[in-house]
Amino acid sequence: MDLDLLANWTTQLRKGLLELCVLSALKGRRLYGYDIVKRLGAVGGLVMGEGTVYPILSRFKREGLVETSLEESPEGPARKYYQLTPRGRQMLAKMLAVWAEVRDGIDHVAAEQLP
Amino acid sequence: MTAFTPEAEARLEEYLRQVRAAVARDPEVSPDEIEADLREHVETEFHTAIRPVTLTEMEAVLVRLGPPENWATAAAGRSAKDVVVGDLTALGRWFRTRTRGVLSTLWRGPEDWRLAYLAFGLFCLGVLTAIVGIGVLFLLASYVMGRAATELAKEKGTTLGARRWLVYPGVLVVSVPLFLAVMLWPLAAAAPASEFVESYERVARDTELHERGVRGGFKHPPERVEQARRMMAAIPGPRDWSEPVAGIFAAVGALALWWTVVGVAMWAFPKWPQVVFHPLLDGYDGWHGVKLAAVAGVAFLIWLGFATRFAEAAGLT
Repeated sequence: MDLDLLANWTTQLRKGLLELCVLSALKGRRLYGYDIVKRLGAVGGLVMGEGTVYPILSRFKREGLVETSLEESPEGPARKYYQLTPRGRQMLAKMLAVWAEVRDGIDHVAAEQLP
Repeated sequence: MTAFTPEAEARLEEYLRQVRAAVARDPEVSPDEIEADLREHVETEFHTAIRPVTLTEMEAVLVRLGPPENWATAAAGRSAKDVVVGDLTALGRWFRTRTRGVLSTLWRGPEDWRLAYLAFGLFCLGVLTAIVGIGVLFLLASYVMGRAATELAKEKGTTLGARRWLVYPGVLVVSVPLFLAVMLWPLAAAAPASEFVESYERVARDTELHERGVRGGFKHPPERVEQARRMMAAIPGPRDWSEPVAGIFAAVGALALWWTVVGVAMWAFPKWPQVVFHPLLDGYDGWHGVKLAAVAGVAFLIWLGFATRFAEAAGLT
């Protein structure tokens, strides 16, 4: 029971944070899908399956938060680069603000519990 | 392009099938796009491989990607009511995001999708305005956009994928009638042949009425009457069918001759049929032209034999 609860909570937490991290990874630069996956995969405990990043990218593209461009690569297959749209940049700023607020709130609550 | 062993390739295709099934119920994502991303991911993982990728190596990459069924977690644990309300809300959201996505693509690209949407939009406009005559212009514009989308995909070394449903209506609405017109225009030969026979049939009928003293009969010159008699006798079948039989016979001959010419032309210029009649003849090569010319040529020679015998019997030579 506790394990189920923890697993569900962890999944939801990761899902929201992963979306934030995908947008954050694209802040001020453009990356191709594989590169995004590998960068976020290096963040401990965030990505449980590398493939989970691709549906998020697809949804962000449909929502107009990111846009793509295809470019030839000398190192392998043509790469699809992702970059933030103006709407994506606005959304990232809002999400980071909410995240900072939540994080500060949690820190504050935790600090109050100290003896 | 990375090479895979058959087992590794089969495993990848199975995995991609699972991915499509897992994300199919989520209207906010594109299964095609995710599949393309995953293919690119796998290609990038193995781009330095100097030998075909084995099943074990493929399995390691797929394990890191994770089980696709875990990707669609949003629908899990919801009540039936939540699912219905959620699905209706999702449907509305899907329409909004799709509309926004289409507008965004039309404005900013990518170019291959922009061309596909333009082709389909112009096709719809063409159909809707066909009744006022201007629709033809939109359909032609749709054809041009569709061809441009196809060529762009070729340049990129990709296939149209789901875009074909946007591109092909506009392309086919031009290429199919064009193909039919080029291949079947000799059927028009049936009309003059029928009229030719009909003129002799009228002479024979007038003469018969005249000889029976029936009102409406008409006396034609004897040589003309003799010609009509031989002509009617030379055409097989009931006399009432003489006109359609002559029309069909002439059309068959004209088609056989024309298809011989077309076959030779297709053999001499094998690229042209693919370009002009895309996508109808995409799998075509020059040998199809040779086969067409051979079959049609033989048919024409047989027809010519019958035509010569008919001409002799009818006194036309």
